Amino acid sequence: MTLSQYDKRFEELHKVLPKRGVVGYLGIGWESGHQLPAYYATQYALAPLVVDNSLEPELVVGNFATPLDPTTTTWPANLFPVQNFGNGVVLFAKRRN
Amino acid sequence: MGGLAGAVLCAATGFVLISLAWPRGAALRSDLLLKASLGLGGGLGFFSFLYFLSLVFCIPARTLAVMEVVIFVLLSILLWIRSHSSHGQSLFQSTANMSASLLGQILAAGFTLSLMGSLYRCLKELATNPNGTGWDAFAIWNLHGRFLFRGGEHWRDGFSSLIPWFHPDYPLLLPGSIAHFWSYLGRETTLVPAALAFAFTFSTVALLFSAVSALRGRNQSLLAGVMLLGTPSFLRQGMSQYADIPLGFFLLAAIVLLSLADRVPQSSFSLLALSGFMMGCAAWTKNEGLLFLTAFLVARLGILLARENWPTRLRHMAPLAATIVPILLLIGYFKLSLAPPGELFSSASSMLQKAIEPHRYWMIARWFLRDFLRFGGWILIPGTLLVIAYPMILGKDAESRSGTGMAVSVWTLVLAAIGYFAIYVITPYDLRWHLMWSLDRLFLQLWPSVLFLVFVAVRTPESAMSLGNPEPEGI
Repeated sequence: MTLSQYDKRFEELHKVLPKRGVVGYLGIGWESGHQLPAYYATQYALAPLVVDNSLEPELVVGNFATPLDPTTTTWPANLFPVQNFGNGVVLFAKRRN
Repeated sequence: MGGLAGAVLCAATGFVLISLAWPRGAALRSDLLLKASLGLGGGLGFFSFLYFLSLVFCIPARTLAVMEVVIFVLLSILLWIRSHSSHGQSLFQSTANMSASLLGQILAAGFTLSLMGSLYRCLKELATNPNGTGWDAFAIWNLHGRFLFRGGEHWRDGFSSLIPWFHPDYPLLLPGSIAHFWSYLGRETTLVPAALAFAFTFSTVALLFSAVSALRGRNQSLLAGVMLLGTPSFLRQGMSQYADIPLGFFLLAAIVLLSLADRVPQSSFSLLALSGFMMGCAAWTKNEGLLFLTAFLVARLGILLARENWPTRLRHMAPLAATIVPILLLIGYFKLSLAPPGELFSSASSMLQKAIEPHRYWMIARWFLRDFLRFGGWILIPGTLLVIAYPMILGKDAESRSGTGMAVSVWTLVLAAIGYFAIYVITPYDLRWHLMWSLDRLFLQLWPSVLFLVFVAVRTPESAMSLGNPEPEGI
């Protein structure tokens, strides 16, 4: 995937995210050689937001190698999906107990 | 259209700045290629400082553009007034420049072919990979540019240590230039970083060619140009959109201006000031530039202390300080107030521990020796061997050894190489990994300057082979 394709991939997500601040990152399904480039491409697409490669921030960007079927997918326990953009991009929020 | 106008304004301002510092008496049109190539990089450096200051002082992009036009107009008026007293000759022109021998024609043909091939290859590369060819291009330099451009009044958010390998402590000449031209355009485009990569790569070639031509004649400059264009990794790195070739450009520019200042003592103040400005731009391009700047000042001071009395030392250091000090203040503000600490000098105890491990020195020495022959990506004969063999075959030029500029330049490169070595000794990263991914680029930073010094110091082919052309004469 080229960087301009990445920009397009995150276009809809970018609209619903805050204009600044820090979001988390969850990358799943990428081959080992593509895992880190996928993170950097996400950071590049979402700047000026800072993408922290962790699940700590309140909002977490899910970047999945293939689009997910929400009915069969298990999300990380501490996160719940806010919006699934259908192209492998999912916005999560931190679950509050 | 706005981007093109901005690029023209930037290059023109750089040209006017260089022309103002040029020795009095020389016509505006003299040394045109030399001034244009220096002016392009100088203009980019100058505009990058202005852009950074506009961010710090919250000056809107439109106001900045107006200010830049005003600066250009004022400088142009100054230049117009000054150019009335010019007499139309270059003060650097070597007498060997007029060579039209068979050798000269062969060299010209070789250079033209190399240049055409390189231009084609680079344009094709940029069309294929408009975002550059490595991670660093988008994950560091262009991403920094995005943070500056998109961040608006919150541009400081980008200096976050949460992003791994982002190097928020890296200086901002390149990202600032990218963001500046995007702000002229009002939108992002990959054309800007690609055009900057192209401009720095071919400005380096033009600068090397024109500087050697001015000091040692056309044939020598054609050979120097062919050597640089014949270094495959130079073109590859240039198009990668990394900052190593821009850094190499500024180092070369500083060294060229130092050599020119030696030739025209009556105009040395302005040329030395420009040399300091270019060294400052190097420090504003990459952290290694700070190493160059330190090596440059140590070499200059050391040689002046050994050879000159106090009034002469002050006369030679004052113009450098005039441009270096303000730039260092700006870099200091950036490093101390905005950027988090760099990763290389994080723990004193760890650095000390590494400094007493002999195997690290041995490993670095082996890599230095190996990469010395391989960093250029040459296919048959390493260019470094050719550069060693060339002076042995043709002999040194007696005149070129007399100036302090040459000695300072050689010592700057030697000290910088020693500095690289020392950094590897204390690096917090895995040593093998660090050497593997960076050493060839570090050698490339020095390569254009090494070529300049060699081709200026060595006799010209026609004088060595006694083909009838006289020995080059200096001013």
